[in-house]
Amino acid sequence: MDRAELERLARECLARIPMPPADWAELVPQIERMCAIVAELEGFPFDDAEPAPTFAPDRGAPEGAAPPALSR
Amino acid sequence: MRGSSGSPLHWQSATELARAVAGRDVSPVEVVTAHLERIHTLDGRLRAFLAVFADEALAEAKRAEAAVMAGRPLGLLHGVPVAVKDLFAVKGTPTTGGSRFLTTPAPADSRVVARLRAAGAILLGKLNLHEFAFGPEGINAHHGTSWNPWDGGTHRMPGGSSSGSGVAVAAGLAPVGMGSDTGGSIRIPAACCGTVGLKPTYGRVSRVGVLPLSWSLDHVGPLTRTAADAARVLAATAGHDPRDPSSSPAAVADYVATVGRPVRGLRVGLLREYVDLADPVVQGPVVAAARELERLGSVVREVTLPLARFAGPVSLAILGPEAFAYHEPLLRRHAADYQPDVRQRLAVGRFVGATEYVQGQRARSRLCDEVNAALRAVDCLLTPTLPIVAPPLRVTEVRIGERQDTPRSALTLFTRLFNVTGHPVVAVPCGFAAEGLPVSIQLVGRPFDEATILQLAQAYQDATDWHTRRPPAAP
Repeated sequence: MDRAELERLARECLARIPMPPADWAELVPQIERMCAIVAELEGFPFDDAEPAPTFAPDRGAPEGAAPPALSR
Repeated sequence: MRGSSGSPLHWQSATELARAVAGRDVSPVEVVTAHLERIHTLDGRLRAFLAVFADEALAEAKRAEAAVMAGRPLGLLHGVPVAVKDLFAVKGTPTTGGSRFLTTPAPADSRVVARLRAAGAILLGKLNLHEFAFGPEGINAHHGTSWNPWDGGTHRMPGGSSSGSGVAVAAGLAPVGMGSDTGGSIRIPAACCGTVGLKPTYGRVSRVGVLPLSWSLDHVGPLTRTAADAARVLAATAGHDPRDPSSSPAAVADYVATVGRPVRGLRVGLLREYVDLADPVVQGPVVAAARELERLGSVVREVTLPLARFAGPVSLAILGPEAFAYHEPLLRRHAADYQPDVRQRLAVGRFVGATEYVQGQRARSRLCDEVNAALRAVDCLLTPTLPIVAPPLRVTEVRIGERQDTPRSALTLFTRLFNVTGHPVVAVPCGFAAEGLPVSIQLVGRPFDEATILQLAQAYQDATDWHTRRPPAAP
């Protein structure tokens, strides 16, 4: 997608937000950079990973990772 | 005014102040007065505070003094002054998020503020931040950017987004500054300003009453000058909160009791990828810190995390859309009132697709598994907190060894992984670069095992004196 087309799309997507006109010149390259970074996920080895519906960082943690302690 | 330890009250730790108050060596009124005078003297230039509650703090100090004299039971932070990032609700005052347009007074305290008060802490005021906590540089275009006190001549980045918290603690304006951390926002200002910064495990400390940035990545925790103080604040603020959907019912350890234990035999994993990515001025102090932990009896070995290189894309895929989702209604009404960099960063989040967001959440699970697997072989990971020292405020590029990067990307290079995985991390000062600017390590623990990383951090601080040095702009 070229820059003009990206800017047209960006203006459409952000139509409900009154972005100051001066922002567009900086915003479009930032969107390009963000897309390039996020595209790196295409190389990620997802295997059978699922998005945990209720994320808990101790999923898969060593047994007894949380030390014995006082309950609050 | 000096306390029983001989150092001025404003340089005493929260632990020292709490003990002195409980022992009737010093009055909470004297403690609060000393800090208010320090703020009055220095904060015109430092701009750490957005609001100072002088009258309320002095009134609270008098009540705290009466409680001591009446022999009532005292909390862990009785008579200790604290300040909170202006992202935390404090009843009767607006939670501005560092903006100009959020002006409605909060109807109630945030959970953390309520717990701090219940522990006897006295609220000094609210602290500066990168607007809406969305930036690691610590810039605030509306109220002025906090001044990093380690350089008296050049305005350097204080680190963000909890910029005021880092500056206030480093400059002796408050022994405790509460912050929030979505991509490094506690640890980055801690590293830039030479303080301790604790990002607890995801779900350990309630976020109720704290303006969100990204529900999946937000954490709250303290900046302090010592690990023992961070342990004390964590003990006062941790615990399940049924009003926070991410809050964990996991047991809360006795952090104050465990922080002084010896570290002999603890296994530390030096994360080689991150050390190699840091600038040489950072590598030296970080490797020296690992050697110091070895000297204290820990066992240091190298570990690798091959998937860590995806932390940036994963963080962006999650943070972008979540931040935009929260801010969209505000942007519709107030777009022109946001500072430009924050408005543009938020708008960019609109362009992360639903598929990419889900892939980010899937990758998050795998990254978490990889860090947990590494933590089966060691008790904690050690990494640099930042690849660089605090850059001048106006630069748009920084040098890391032979590479060039943006300040934003460089400052979050080593921090954002642990927002994605939720592991607890404490940032600790570990030396100074040639320009006199602080360098910092991160100690990363197993989920809900803040006790071990705080134990290591305090042992390291007991063996070194980096945290006792005072910045030139706040002598």
